[in-house]
Order: sequence, then C-alpha cells, then structure tokens
Amino acid sequence: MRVSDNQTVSQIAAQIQRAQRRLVQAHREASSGSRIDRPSADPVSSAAFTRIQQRLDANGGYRSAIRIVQGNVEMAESTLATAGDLMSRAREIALQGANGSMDAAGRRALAQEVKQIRDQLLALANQKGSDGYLFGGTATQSPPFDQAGTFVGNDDDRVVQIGPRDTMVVSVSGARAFTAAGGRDVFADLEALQTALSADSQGDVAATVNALDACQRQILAARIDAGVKMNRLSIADTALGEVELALSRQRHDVADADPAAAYSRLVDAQSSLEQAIAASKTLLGTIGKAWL
Amino acid sequence: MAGLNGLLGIARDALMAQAYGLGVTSQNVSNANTPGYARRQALLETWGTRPPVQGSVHIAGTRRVVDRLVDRRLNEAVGFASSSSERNAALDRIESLFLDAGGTGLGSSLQALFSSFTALSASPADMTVRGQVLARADELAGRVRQTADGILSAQQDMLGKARTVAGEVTDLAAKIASLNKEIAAVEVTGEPALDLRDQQESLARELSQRIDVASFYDKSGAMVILSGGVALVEGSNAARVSVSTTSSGAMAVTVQRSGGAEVDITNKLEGGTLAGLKQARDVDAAAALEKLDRLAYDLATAVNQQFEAGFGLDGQTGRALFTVTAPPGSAAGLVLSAVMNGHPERVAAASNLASIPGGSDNAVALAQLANAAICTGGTRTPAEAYSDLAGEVASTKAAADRDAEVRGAMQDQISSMRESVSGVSLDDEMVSLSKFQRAYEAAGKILQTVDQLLADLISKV
Repeated sequence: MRVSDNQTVSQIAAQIQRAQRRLVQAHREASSGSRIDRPSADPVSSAAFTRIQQRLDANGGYRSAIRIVQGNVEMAESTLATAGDLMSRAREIALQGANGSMDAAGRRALAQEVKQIRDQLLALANQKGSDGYLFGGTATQSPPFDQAGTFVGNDDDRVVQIGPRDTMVVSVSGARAFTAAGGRDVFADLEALQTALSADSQGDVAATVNALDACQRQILAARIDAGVKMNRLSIADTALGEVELALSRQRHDVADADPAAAYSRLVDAQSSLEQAIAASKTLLGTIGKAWL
Repeated sequence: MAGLNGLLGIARDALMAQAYGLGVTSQNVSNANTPGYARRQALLETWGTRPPVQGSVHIAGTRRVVDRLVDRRLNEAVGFASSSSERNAALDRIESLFLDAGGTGLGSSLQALFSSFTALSASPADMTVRGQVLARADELAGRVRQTADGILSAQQDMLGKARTVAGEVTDLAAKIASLNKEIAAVEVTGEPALDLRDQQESLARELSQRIDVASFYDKSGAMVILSGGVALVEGSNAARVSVSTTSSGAMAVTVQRSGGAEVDITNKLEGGTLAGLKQARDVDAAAALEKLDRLAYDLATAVNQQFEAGFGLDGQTGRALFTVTAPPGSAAGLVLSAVMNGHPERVAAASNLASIPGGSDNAVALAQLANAAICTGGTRTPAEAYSDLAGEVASTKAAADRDAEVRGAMQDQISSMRESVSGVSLDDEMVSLSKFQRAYEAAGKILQTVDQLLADLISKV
C-alpha cells in the first residue's frame, strides 16, 4: 500500500487521541473512586446502584421512624411501670385501711394519700410523648383523661410503617390500661377507695382490695404489651441495620472502583500514552527525511 | 528515425517535459498539507508516429490521482461518523440529568417523599413532620420539572442547531453548484479545472458531515448531489434545505428546489449532523421524556388517589397532593397542589374522621405505595420505574458511545484509504524530483551533443 504523509500524520493523531481518552477515563475513575460517575460507562451497574441507593434511603426512613416511636413506646412502658408502682401502693393502703386497728384519723390520712396517688396516676395517664398524648389512641392532641378521670380518648390503633412490607401498631392502649375497656376503671376504683377511707368504712375499704388487684394486673398487662412492642421495634431496627450493611456492601461492589485496579489502569494508560508519543516522534522524524 | 534536426526537436521536447514534471512535483510539495488536495501526476506520452517529431515526448496534461469509489465511500463514512458523534454529544446532556451516583438524579427525591410518609406515620400530628411531607413533595415535583425542562431545552437547542446546519447545507450546495458552472466554463477551453475540482470535492465532504450525500458526475462532468433521494445540486442549480417542526413537534427536514415544491426527506436521512440531531431529539430524548411523563403521571395519580382518601387535621378529605395533567407534558407541569401549598395541617395522615389527629393509617398506606406496582401499567414500583428510565437513558448513551467509536474508526480507515490514493508523500516527491532533474540534465546533454555534432559538421563542410 502506498503511504502518504497525511495518512501517517492522521494515524499518529488518532492513536494519541485514543491513548489520551483512555488516560482521561482512567484518571476520572481513579480520582472519583466511582466506576459509574457516567451511567453509560456501565448501564447495568448504574441501574443496580439506583435501586440499591433507593432501598438504602427507604431503609433509613424506616429506621428513623422506628427511633421516633421507640422513644414513645419506651416512655409509655416506663410510665406504666410507675403507674403499676402507684397501684401497688394503693393496694397496700387498702389493706392497711381494711385493718380493724386503724382509727378514723388514720383512714382520713390514708384517704389523702390515695387522692395524691389518683392525681399522680391521672398525670401519668395524660403523659405526652414526642407527638402528643401517649394513651389517648389516635386522639393525641387533647388529654385522654379529664380531671374527673373520665376517658375522652379512643382505643384506635396508631400504625407505623417499619419496613418495606411491615407495619405495626405502636400505640399502647390507655383505654385498656386505665378504663373499664380493660376490665376495671382504675380512677373510679381509686375514688371508691378514697371515699371508703374518708367515710371510715372498714368494710367498704376491704371490698376495694380485689378490684385494686385487678387494676394492678391490668396496668401490668399494658406494660407487658409496651415491652413486647419495644422488643419488636428493636428487632426490626436490628434487621434493618443488617439489611443496610448488606446494601452498603452491595453498593460498594457495584459503584466503587477497586482502588488498586483503578490505579494500575491509570499507570497503564499513562505509559501507553507515553509509548504512543515516543513512537510517533520516531515516525514523524522520518517524514521528508529524503530531502535532507 | 529523425535526423540531427529531429534530435534537436526531441531534446527540446524532453527539456520541456522534464521541466513540466518538476513543476507538477513542486505543486505537490507545496500542497502537501492542503486539505482536499489530490496529488497531481504529470501525464507524459510519446508522440508515437504522429508529427512533428516521431518518438519525442508529449505533455498530455496533469491528472488528479483519485479513486471516485473511495471518495464516495469516504463521504458516506464521514456522514455516518458525524451523525453518531452528534447524537452522542447530544445524549451526553440528557445523561447528565440522570446522574444518581453524582447526585443529580430523581431517585433520591423520589425516595425522600416516601420516607416522609414513613416519618408521618410515626408522628402524624407533628407539624414539622407534616411540613416535611409538603417540602419533599414540592422538591420531587421541582426535580421532575427540572429534568423535563432539561430534556425539553436540550431538544430546543438541537432544533436550533439543526436550523443553523440546514443554513450551512444550503450555502454549501449553492457553492458546489456555482463551482459546477465555473468548472464548465474553464473546461470548455479543453483545460481541466483541477483546482476547482479539489475545492468541489472538499465542499462535498463538508456537506456530507451535515447531511446525507450521494454524489456522482453527470455526462458533462458536473457534480450531482442527492440527499435522501432528492437532488440537492444539479448542474448550476442548488436546492434550499430547511428545518421546521411538524404539528406533533417532530423535526422535519425539507428540500426545496428553485421553483419546486418542498420535499420532506426527514425519514430518509441516515448520515450527517442533521440525522444525528433528528435521532437524538425525536427518538432518544423523546423516549426519555415520554417515560418521565409516564412516571410523573402514574406516581402523582396514585399518590393523589391515596391522599384524597385521607383526612387532614381540619377534618377535610378529598384533597390532592399534586396537580398533574395527563401525558404528554405531565412531568413539565407537575406541581404541589395549590390547596396543599403552605398547609401542613391538611396533610391527610388519618384514614377516617374519628382518628384525627393521631391516626396514621393513611400515612402508612401512602408509605406503602413505595412498594406497590403503581407505575408502567401497574407492573413496576416507582423506584423500579425510575431505575428503568435512568437505565434506558444510560444504555442508549452507551450504545451511542460505541456507535460513535466504531463509525469514527471506520471514517479514519476510509480516510486513510483516500490518503493512500490521493495524499502527497514527500518521499515520493523527492524521488520524482531527482528523476525529472536527472532526465532534464540528460536532455541537456543530448542537446549539447547534437549541437557539437552540428558544429563538427559545419566546420567540415
């Protein structure tokens, strides 16, 4: 084949161009640490990256929702624990009051304490969490119990999304913990105790003991329910954490350049460009040599 | 055989012919780097038996060393390569709208909306969380609009560029046609218009970068150029090429010969910038925009439907989160609905009136849309539909990349074939130079010898 000078020159130019392009690409990969900073470099990995990233984002969303409700459920649990302690004190008072050796003044003093217990319990039942009252069902923005101890909330569930296909009820039922819906109306029973003590009626006081027992069990049941929920939330959080770890690893595999490989490709591209330039110099040197 | 006088004639012709050869060689050397220049060859022949001098050398002229077939293939290759590289460059811009790894894609905004629904399910009465839902919805709508605008403005720019290119095509065609006229005027004297033909070939090559070019020479030696089967240049007449849009907004390339009707050649274009722009604008970008419209419409409709089923803190129901129109134009027109804008209390977290304000059933239902097949005719989740879209853009770009590479290499190869035939080699020319120089010296020697013989003869007479 006849070789003209333009042919030689344009071939040299094309080769250097190609080597330069490879160098720029290798440099981009090595410096950005990403194989897919242009999706077209690897459409399959890039689509996988998008899906993994979205799952990671969603996972993060579920976990932060879990953290918020976890705080509330924990608070409900500890509130119910305190309520349980108060109830057991009320029961002790009832037993003391039912004792025949107790005089009227003693019973009046106990009645005072019961009133305080009732007020404290009312405050606990109207406990607020991060997003309103804990024990009013979905009526979170007004106190579920009025001053008379009457329940004005509801027993509806508050549901939270805690996974891609996983929801759970995170509200702890105030209705079942404190009202007749759970068996006994706690505030009415305390009031009955207070009335019986004030009236210095040993028999009436003794009659409240069983009811107070039931109240205590009912609050304990609600507390256990809260504990179970805490447990489930923490299991869900751990599971999501593991998924997150796996997804992060996948994302790394899909998107990140292997630093060693990227660097060696860079060195490779650099030396092949240098070679192309060196070879071109030799070739260019021969053009028109016949004239010298 | 000639006598001594005849020998003088031969020597004279030889001197002239070798000098002519030297002239052609120096012309080649001086044009070694002139684009479009085809090397010249001095055409020398013997007079044969014809007078005036038998056996003497005759200068038959100069020829351009070209291979018309290679030239035609080069035009075609140039057209394909420029079509591909134009498409590739145009798609670069579309691709840059979907860089999820680089943080420009829609993926994160899409997921952020669903995560805000998840957060809403945890704190349905929290005004900040409700405000976040609106902020995320607004952000997503904004990103969808930006992406759509990015595609639309890229399409607009492509149309603008196509118009400019069509203007250049018209100019080039006019120049080629006027060269046809000049060439005819020169060649009627019997002298080949080699330089003008160089120019014409080089203009045809420039033309083939922009539009499909099939060129050939008619009987009179004038260049004829067809584009998409329609004559762009015929004799001294050139057609006008213009770019317009059809009623559906697609780009149309039309050719109008003077006094003739406009002929639409859009669908016949395969090579040249115009074909690349057409492909990128009306096929690739249009497909991306259509998918984006579909995604925006499906998503907004499904979210709205669920949103409308819920109740705001004010006890009202039936309010949509987004305002969206049916495709086309869904993506470019997607906005947060006016009724929701600035009213976080209206976010419909509860599924019934009684469960306000703590009810979160509807928030959960909204969050679950993230994993529901609500897109692409009820077959894909929003995340999947988006990754399909971004994946398709990436694959199209990757294919265009490869195409541009392959066709570029093809052009290089054929261009190298053309240079092999028509390019100047300085080494070749050096050899020719020596060859003609030596022959000239030898012819001088003949002249000297004949002169000597004649002098001898005269002195002896």
